[in-house]
Amino acid sequence: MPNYSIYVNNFQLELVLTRGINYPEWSIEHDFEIISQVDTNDTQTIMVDIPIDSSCTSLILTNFGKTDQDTVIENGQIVRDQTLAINRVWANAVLLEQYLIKDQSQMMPDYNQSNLNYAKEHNIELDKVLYTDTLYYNGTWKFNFEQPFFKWYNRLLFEKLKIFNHWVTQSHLGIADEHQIKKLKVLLECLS
Amino acid sequence: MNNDKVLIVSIPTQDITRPPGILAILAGCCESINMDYSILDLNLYMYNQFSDDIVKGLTRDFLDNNFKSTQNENYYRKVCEHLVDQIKLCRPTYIAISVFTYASILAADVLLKHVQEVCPEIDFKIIIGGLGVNNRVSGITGSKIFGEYCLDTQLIDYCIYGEGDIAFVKLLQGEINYPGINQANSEQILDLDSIPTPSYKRINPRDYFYSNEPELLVTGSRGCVRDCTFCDVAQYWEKYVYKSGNIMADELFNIWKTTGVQKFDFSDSLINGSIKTFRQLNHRLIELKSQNPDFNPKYKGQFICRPRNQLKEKDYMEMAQAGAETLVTGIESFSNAVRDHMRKKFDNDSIDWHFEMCAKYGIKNVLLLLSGYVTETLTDHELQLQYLKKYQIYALSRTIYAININIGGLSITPGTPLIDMAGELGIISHDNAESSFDTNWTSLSNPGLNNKERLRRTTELVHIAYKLGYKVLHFNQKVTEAEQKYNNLLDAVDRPVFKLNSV
Repeated sequence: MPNYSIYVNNFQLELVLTRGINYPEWSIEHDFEIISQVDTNDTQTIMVDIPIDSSCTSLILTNFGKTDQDTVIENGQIVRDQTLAINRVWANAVLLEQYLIKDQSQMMPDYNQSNLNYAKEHNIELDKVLYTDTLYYNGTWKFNFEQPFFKWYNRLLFEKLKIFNHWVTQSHLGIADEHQIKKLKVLLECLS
Repeated sequence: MNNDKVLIVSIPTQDITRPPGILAILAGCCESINMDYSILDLNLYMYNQFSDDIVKGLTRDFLDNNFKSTQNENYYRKVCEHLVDQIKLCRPTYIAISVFTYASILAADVLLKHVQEVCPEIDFKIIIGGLGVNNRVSGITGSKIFGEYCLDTQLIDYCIYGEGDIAFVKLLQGEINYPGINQANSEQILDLDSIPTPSYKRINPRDYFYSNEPELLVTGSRGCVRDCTFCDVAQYWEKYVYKSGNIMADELFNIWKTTGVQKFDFSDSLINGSIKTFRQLNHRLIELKSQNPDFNPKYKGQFICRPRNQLKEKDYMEMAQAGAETLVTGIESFSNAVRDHMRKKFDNDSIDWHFEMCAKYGIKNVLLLLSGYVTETLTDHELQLQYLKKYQIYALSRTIYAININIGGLSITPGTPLIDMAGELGIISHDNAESSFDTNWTSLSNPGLNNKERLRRTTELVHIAYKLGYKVLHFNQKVTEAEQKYNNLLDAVDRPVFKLNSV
């Protein structure tokens, strides 16, 4: 039975894990259930079901256990790296636009000592927050949202919608002018 | 290649977001017999030449088939002059003009007369075709259809009635007595795999007013597997015929190779009329994608809901993989009883299933609703509103990307099964209008559903849909249309009642 609520009370994440020496370890700050796992070569695709309370406004995933050895380097080239990607996200069984997930994602990396040393040696300031859906470092990934989720999501979709010419805006996207909205209400009153 | 040359012309008023499909179809016909051709889109020229306000005014005039001002007529004459310039430049043997719908008749009439006046000395033959040649506009054509009127007044040399894919080629080859040429005696083409492949070699899709990327119109089938009571498709194509899925997929692939365009809009009445062919199309597209990583097609087309045992989850998954982006889905009503009467042949469970799967696989829908159907009761209407509320999640997530509601409700169109059912349903018309669409009707079997009530229901649907976050297509125009209809209602006094004749 589909969930028609506009408040999100269930997420499903498709996580794609790639192996360095080991696969990433991870946890989610909610009760969750792994509903499927497929292993191919050095990749695991895991589907996770996360029921949440409809007052919840964030999803937090922690990625840990990555060591320097999980970035496998041969002849100066990275040949394999441990990563965890939040590949696809469903809210109440609706697939969300991945570019919006990425935009709304905040990753607080917990850099390894070797990363910190490298940055210091090369005078690089490491980002405290990364906006990404692919985790190359240990740390915490947070997806913040508002409730009712789908109203919030709809607002984001429209902010991001790129319109290249007004003919399309007028004819295809149902853009409503304020005076036309008022006119519609008056008409409806007259007809009722 | 022989020395003949065809100038293929499309005229206002048409969609401007992509090239008219007919240009590529006729180009393909020419190429199939090695005949040279040029392409001229006067509709595009008009949009490029004039300001938005002028174009809007001209478009309104074309839709009404009447110039509201001499100034507008003069603007359009400048468009006609562009054709004359092109004629002088390319010296074609044939000029093939597409009269796409009734909304092209004024444009075609003025254009043809202008060409006759301005270049009587140039030797070329004029061919017209398209659905518009079958329309009457009394102020222009009198009691005749446009094709007949043009032939009788010698504005043209040839008119192609019905499908032109073969007749046009035959005409260019000199077979002027081929069925469909100057006589409405054509037969439906039953083998779409054998007709010339449309060619986009001389059309630049990037010249058009597309949204985020250019798109092209393609055709995989003609006709429909359904016989919906309100629809006249069966009048034009008695049988449902289709290209094989593999051929269609290869056509998309070749268009991409030629133009770089990856976005395709199917003109079909239904892209999934034949489930087997639709699956074949998706399988072949997935295969082509895997062989060509840069090939990433996205398609949209009209779609019919089917029960979950006919269209399975795997089908939706493969559609998404193949590039199904937007489905234009004719739900029409959320009342099983109304939809049964329409002969749509799917139930509300199939609708739930369809949206559930589209949401899961990220496929968007344009939802078509037809309010004020002949048998629609107030309870049925309330069900429409309830379902809009139920599917709000899909509107906000844009699984239902947009919704189309026709203001004033059902129009009863000639050639539809409803005309044959008029007696049985006690449909009476309040207009003696020559307009082919009758919106001012009442059914004696459902007398509460009069013109005013239909307007109220459709206006309420638009209002509720808007409030819930649905994007109502052409919202601003629809409100203006509702206002006009309301004013017409106020103006209406006791007018005579006419009974609709069965065809």
